[in-house]
Amino acid sequence: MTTTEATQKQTIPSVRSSRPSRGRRAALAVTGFLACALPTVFTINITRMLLTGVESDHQFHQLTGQGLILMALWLGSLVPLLRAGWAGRRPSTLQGLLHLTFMATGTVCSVFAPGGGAPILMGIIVLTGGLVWLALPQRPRLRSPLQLDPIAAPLALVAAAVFTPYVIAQERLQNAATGYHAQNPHYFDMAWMTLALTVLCVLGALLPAARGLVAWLAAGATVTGVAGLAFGEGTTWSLIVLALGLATTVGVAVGDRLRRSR
Amino acid sequence: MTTVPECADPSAHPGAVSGGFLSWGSLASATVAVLAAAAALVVVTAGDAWGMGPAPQVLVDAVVGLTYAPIGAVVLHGRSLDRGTRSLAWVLLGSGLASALAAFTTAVALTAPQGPLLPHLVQLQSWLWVPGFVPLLTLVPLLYPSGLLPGTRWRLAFVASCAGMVLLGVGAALYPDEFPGRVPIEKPVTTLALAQGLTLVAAIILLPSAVAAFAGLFLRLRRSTGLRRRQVAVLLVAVGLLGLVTALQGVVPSPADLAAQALAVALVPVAIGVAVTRHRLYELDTALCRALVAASLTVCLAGVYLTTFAVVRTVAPDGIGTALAAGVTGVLVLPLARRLSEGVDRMFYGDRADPYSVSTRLSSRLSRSGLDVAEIPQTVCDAVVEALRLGSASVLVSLEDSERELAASGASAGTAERFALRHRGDLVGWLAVTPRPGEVRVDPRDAEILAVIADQAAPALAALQLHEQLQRSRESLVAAREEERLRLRRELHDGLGATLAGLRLQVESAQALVSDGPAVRLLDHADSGVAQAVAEVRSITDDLRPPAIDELGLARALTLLAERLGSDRCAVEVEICDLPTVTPAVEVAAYRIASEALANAVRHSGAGRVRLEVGRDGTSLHIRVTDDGAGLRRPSGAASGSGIGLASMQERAEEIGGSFELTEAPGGRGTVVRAALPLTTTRGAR
Repeated sequence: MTTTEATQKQTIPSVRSSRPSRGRRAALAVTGFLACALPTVFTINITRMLLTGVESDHQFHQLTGQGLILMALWLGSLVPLLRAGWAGRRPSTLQGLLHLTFMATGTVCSVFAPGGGAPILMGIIVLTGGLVWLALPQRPRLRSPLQLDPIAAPLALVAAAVFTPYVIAQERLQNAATGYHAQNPHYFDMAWMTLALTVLCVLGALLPAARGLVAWLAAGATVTGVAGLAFGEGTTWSLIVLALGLATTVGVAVGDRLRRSR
Repeated sequence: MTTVPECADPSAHPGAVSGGFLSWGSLASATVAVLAAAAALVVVTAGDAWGMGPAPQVLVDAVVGLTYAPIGAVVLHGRSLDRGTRSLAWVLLGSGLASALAAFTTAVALTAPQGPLLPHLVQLQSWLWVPGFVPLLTLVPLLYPSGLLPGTRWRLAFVASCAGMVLLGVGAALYPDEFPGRVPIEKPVTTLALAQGLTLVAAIILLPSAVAAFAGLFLRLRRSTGLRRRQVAVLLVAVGLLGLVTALQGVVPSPADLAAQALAVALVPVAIGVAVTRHRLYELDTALCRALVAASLTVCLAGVYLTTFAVVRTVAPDGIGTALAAGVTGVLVLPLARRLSEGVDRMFYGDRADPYSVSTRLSSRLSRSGLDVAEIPQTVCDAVVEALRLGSASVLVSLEDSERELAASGASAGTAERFALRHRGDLVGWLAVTPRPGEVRVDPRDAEILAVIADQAAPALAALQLHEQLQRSRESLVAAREEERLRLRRELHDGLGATLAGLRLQVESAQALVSDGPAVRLLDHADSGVAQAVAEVRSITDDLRPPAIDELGLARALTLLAERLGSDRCAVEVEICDLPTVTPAVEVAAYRIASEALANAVRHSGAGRVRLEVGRDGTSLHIRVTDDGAGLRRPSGAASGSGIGLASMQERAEEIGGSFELTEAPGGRGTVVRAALPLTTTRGAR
């Protein structure tokens, strides 16, 4: 028997999906491997160092800018692009902006603090990232209407006010660094991470299609604040960053609730 | 064409107090409190004094100042507040202000070098925390949420709280303790004996007052229901936690105790905020919107200024950096205010600030391929509720002598306002909406968009109106047809049938009297001809209407039908309620649908048990046939059911304005056939 009152349901997919050709998937696999190899190796090494206590005086950097947060940004921006491409879907605006922001902020920081091989690193990242974009069957749509979020916007600008002096200070420290820090650009990494988190939050506050990017600031600032307190990275600054992270988390949740309850 | 009825003046709330001066006073007080609290935090941070003894207390006082004062000011800016609520708002504002000043004076006393004013500042900070903190444990729970005491007996607790605070404040001010700042500071006026006495009496008074306040809140919780209960519950949890944390001061090691207290203190305004925003306490949407825009703009401008200053300072001298940052901030004030205002408006009221977006989205939904014209009213209602966040929306179609609701969305509460749906100048229906919870009428900006939506939806509704008229005509035709068939059946049965039967009797009598061969043959022919005519008439009458209905009534006819279809292999159970008198069309449809459904279940489903239920509600006769057979996913090779039969059942239900549904039984074992037939039809009720 069949349902005689069945309503005709026609789903209109929001994202067009068609299985990519073998060549396209092969290109994605190769470019994905090239782009992900470096952050994967870095993540494994940094995690090992954190767990085994190697260079324990750098645990703050290992957990944040030089390490896990930066790697999360790196892989977290690449993997969704590759997944969408593999499935033949168009990556979302949010995913595209996340990857572009990661590359752009790193490039800007490397221009102002070129020591420690930062420009070469950025060259590799931009090149491999660019190849991934070329291999995608459909590229993300980056044009999106602008609608300022009244909760995310102040949080983003507070983040900018807190992190901009920090980014500048880290860039100066990197340029003035000698010895180990000149070869291993921790300060550049910290500047890059904080700048990326700030820009992501600003984009999230500006674009409805990228609201989810605010969560990166919430998580990143919270972890950085806790790590700063745990590893003695300036109590006041760490408290401010932690407060920013918690406020962003609460702000995002409150905004969502407010929108849903009305 | 829009119709917006006149509504009552929102300010005409019983007991409402207009207070322009007081409103501005509250705003100024809240601003002072926020600035003082923020300054206290900056002073302690800049002075690197967080490690000093009284510094953590600054955090608690600053949190109270930063949260309570704005909440109090926002509540005081509500459009329709009674005196009680205003009293509570003033308590919140006063606590916030006192705490903020306590935080600021403490911060200055902690970090400032020796000076002539410092002892007086210390004297001030030593008692300011009392009106800042103690009301949170006494007055706030006593007065929340209405600002009125739970009963007349509670006046004692209220008076005791106030008296206790005064005594404690004076006692704390006169207590001769040295302030452990960067430079130890002594108060100018102290009296140990008096201070001890006052403090002791205050403690004796305040402790039961706080217990009474908490009990009062608990009593309110028990007495209240629904929304009010949720409003009280959130504060009860927060105040309970604050009381617990305060009671544990000295037990928990410092600074964890003060951090916990700061968190617990912050929870109280959060709870009030939850009650205000989620549970619609005080109906503060407008005031909240303004407060949110103001707060958001302030923070944004501060962020822009500081960011620009930090960037410019790296390449230019400080003076230029300050000027440039101020210039950039100034340029951004208006665009930021506009955008933030739109954002807040969107957050609270959906897309009403962007009619183009609402219109485009609705157009895109309406032009979606595969959208049935019957779904358009629901699509319009959903779009209105989602895009404008109105309480509810419904679409009504105008018929000749009545209106019929085609679709509705949202929770309908309050008086609906109607917007005419006109097509080519003719009224085809109405779009009825209720305002957002907390609003007394639909805002003119909403009305403008609703008018646009009404214009977009009107042509589709005109088509639906035609469809409705067609359906009604069809129902009338079917009703008339069935009545005519009934009349014809009676005429044939009682008139022609009876005549033929009499004729046959006469022929048979003549056959008995006649012995002549040719005459007998002629009479035999005549007898068989009349018998054939009787059979044909019976066949015609049976085809016109199931004879069992007229002979036994619908209920008995259905019972007999079930008994006839039942067998050892398949038991058929029947449950029929006391049926009302229904129109011939409904009787026939009910009988035919039940008969087809039972036959399908018995013959094709492989069921061992089939059940027929016939019931009724105020408007419909419900037929339900269930079986425990193979269900909708019958194994291949099994005898297939009659698709024509299903279509026929659906057609029979729909042609009289009913509905038909075939679904799988829960668990996938068997099928369920449901039909609802209207008990009243437009015409032809017997």
